[in-house]
Amino acid sequence: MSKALRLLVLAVTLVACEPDATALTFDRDPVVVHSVLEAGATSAAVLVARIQRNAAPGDGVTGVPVTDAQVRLIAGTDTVILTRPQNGRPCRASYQTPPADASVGCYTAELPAGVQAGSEYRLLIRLADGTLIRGATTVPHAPVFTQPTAPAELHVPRTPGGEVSTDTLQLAWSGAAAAARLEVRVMTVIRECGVTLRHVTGLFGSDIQYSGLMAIDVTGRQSASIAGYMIACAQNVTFDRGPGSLMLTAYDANYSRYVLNRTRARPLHEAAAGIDGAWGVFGALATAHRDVTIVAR
Amino acid sequence: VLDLLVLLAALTGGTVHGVVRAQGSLEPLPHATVSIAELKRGAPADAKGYFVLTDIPDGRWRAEASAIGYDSHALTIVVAGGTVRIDFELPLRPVPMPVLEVRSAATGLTETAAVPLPQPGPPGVRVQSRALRTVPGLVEPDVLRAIQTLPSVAAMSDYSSALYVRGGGADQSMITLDGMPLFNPYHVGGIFSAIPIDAVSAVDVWAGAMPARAGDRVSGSVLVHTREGGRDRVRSSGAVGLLSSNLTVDGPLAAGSFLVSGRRTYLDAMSNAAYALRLTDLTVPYGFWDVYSKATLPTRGMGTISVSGYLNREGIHMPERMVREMDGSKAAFSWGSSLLAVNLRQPLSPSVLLQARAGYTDFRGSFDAWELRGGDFHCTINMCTIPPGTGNYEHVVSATTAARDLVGAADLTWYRTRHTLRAGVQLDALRFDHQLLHIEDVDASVFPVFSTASAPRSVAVHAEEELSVSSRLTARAGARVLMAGSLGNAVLPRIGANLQITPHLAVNAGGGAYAQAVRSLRNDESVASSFVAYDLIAAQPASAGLARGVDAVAGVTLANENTAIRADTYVKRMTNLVLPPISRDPMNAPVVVVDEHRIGEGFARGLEITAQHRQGRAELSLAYALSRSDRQADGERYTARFERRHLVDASAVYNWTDRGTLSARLAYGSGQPTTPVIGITEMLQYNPVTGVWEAAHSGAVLGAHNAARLPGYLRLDVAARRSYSRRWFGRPVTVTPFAQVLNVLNTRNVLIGEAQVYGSPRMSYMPQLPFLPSFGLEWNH
Repeated sequence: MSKALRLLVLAVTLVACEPDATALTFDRDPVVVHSVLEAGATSAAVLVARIQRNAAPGDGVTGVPVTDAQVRLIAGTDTVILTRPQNGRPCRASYQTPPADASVGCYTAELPAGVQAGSEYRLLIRLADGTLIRGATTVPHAPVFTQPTAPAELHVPRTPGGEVSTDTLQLAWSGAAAAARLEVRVMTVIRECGVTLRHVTGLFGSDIQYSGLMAIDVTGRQSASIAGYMIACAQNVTFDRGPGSLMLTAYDANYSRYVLNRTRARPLHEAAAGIDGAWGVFGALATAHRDVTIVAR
Repeated sequence: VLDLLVLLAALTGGTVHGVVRAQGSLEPLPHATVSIAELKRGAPADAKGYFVLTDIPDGRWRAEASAIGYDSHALTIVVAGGTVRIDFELPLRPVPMPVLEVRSAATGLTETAAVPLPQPGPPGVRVQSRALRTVPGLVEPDVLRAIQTLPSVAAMSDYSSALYVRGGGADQSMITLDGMPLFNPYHVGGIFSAIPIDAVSAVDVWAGAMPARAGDRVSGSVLVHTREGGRDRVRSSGAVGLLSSNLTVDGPLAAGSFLVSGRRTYLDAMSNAAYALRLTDLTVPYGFWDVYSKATLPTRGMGTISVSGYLNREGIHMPERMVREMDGSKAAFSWGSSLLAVNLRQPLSPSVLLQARAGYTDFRGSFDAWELRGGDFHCTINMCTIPPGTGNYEHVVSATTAARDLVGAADLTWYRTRHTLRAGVQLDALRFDHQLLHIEDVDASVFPVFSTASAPRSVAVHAEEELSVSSRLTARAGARVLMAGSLGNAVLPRIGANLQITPHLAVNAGGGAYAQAVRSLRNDESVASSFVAYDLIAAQPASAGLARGVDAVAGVTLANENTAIRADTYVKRMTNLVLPPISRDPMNAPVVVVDEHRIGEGFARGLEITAQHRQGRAELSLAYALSRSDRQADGERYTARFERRHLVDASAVYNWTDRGTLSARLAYGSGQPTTPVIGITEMLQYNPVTGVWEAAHSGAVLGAHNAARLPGYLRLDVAARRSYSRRWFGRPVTVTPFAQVLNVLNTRNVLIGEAQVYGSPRMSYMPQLPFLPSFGLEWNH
């Protein structure tokens, strides 16, 4: 057998034995930062954690709080140092597998001027090992509800309705054209009860929003036709009628990028949105509220 | 100066022209060569066998015609000024591949491999019909699969026969049939080509430094030439394979000829019949057919006019019983291409040839799906059935696609002693309509609802001069001007040169600028493009204007009696490309890119080396392609998903006795690009109601788009065929059984990787084609 043929056989053998799957290994535990600034808020909070795989196979990952970081928020010439509060949990996080309380890695500070819509904020985090993490965001302006103009009722079936309801609530707003993402959601005053909305699109029925935090993505729109889809309460809690609030939230480009993949069939993350040197997101949002009366039917 | 004097001195004398045909059938032989050795003059015939030798001095000369696969034939001619017409009839060589022919010292030509197209500058590649059959195909011989073996052409996957030429997308290369653009010549999503192989005489592939007459695509042109049919008697041929059967009949028609070639699958018909008779519980509701027909009639002189038509159709039509036995989902999909072309070839004088064509080509499809709702479902643990008469169908998917082109073109070729002038004009009236109206339960970010229509018109004029500067140096220079209305105009220069340094060594160089008014909505970065080759062709966005390309090619050919080596290197830049939005995972990338696109650029460069060697009855071919294909938009640069950085393609054909061939093809290449997984995290999502960062899901974090590589690729295909001659009913009949095995090593080649984040994190892979044997029987009569 010639040398060339031997090499050919070797190459064939090597590739033909290729395994079905290859293990993924990673050489570091990345730091992840989560922070959004809310327009009008008087404080800011930043969550810093280090992602670690749990020891038991199949247990997923969790966020181990980073407690020795130096965190600064810069707005113009003003710099605010964020510190870990000794008491309370001003920012909260719920990992699915929490061996440690990620909220311990929360850094917060009061902002004397509040979070200003239209202003740019920069985030600087220095870890104990010298790693520098930078972020920047511009806070969006809150949209303005133009409809309904008067107190309105939102009718919600106690169980999911099968057909498109004609009992819709027409919403309209302005000032959201620049929002990278725009969501509508509803909240009740009874925290044990949640309301799911559906967006009646008119032509072919409706988009029912089950995913995530029960919000309807209305990015790029100036109006929406909303119907109640379902009201669900904790056991032994009933809801017949009560005040609620429609929320129209505009997000900046960072947060929009961060959640973009959430809507995809097979979620995958952007490593970072608005953050350099770590994973996570440094974003901003602004919310408009419109009171409604929620009526269960 | 001496060359110019020779040129001027030769501007007198007679003109010799004619057609080179196959003996017996009298079919024109594409790109035969006619030469007069005493004068050291020669001319390549064109795709229809037409040749012109001008300014031949008065006297008696010996003119010889030769063509691949045919014995040469020489005639004595007497030139005394004026015009001499000679038609050659070359006898078919009985042995498929007895010798390696060397047509010129610079080009080693063989029957079973791609051969250089004679032209000044970097040559294109011609694949003869016989060579198309020696490449192991998928189930049956396949035109586009054979083209994919060229080093200039890449494939997105084993499942797609779409052609990616030198870094361009599939929509950046034009496939023409009888001079007409052919939209989506595929079956079964692209696994098979829809081009009837029995009707094909040769395929020309222009991969770079294209001449001015090449169509308006920025990356390549694939010209499928069809046969005319024999003029002496009616012949028939056909094949029976596992997938389909085909039948071709050709013969005399008045003073001309006709050819009809058709193919049809029968799995659907057979399984539907068995299903209707309740012999089976399942049926295959998919089927396809295609038919090509052509009639050619002589006009005055050596002119011909041909009318050709082509139809291919395929679809999914589910029987009612099947719908009710399969959870009530019903689909009615149908799609296919149509083409009608009229081609006129008319020598206006012995040295001026007019070629005009007009025609219509389209691709249409409609895709509707319904769900039976409200029915009386009877479910078992395995499946649900719905009794007849219950439930109502609700439309859940409605989509249509249409791409049409109305073409008119005329080309003039003026043959002179040492130069040939080509000029022409082409008008295209295009119209595209695509819409996906309604789709349920599918992620809108992957399958967006859309509706788009466009109707660009374009006029292209071209002129090019091919000049034999000396016996060693040939060159061409020309330009094409594309005027596409609101998309803009483009002036596109094209140049090329070829220098024969020694009888065995030649170098060439060339380049050109290109433009195109159309693009595909299909997203090559989506995994769907690995399975679906169909392009949804639409006009370039007005904001982008014409897509543009510019390339430069340099090459060297070295040939002797038994060996031919060719090396080409190229660089290419494409601008105004419509690229998809950032989507790092092909599983999540939108299948079609309509409005949410980016305008970007494409870059390609590479080296291609092809070596052919004859040893006794065997011919060996080795090709290596080093290629780099990038896209760039919004500051992001990534490698195109179809690219294999290195690809070695080795093939061998052995004459098994005088009537059969054994062939094998080994492809060994680097893996295609993939986006690396750089970690796993749990995504938190901010709840503005509660202020809590809530766990959304665990997932893989991806790195830079297409910054890593999938595992390498290896595939060995083998094929065998042998002919047996018999006399049946007093007529000679040749029967050729064939068998082939794709991926005989059953290598688990990787189509795409998918991160599994639960449990032990790992990449799992979707496979390319596994071990796939097939066989069939060809016959001709």
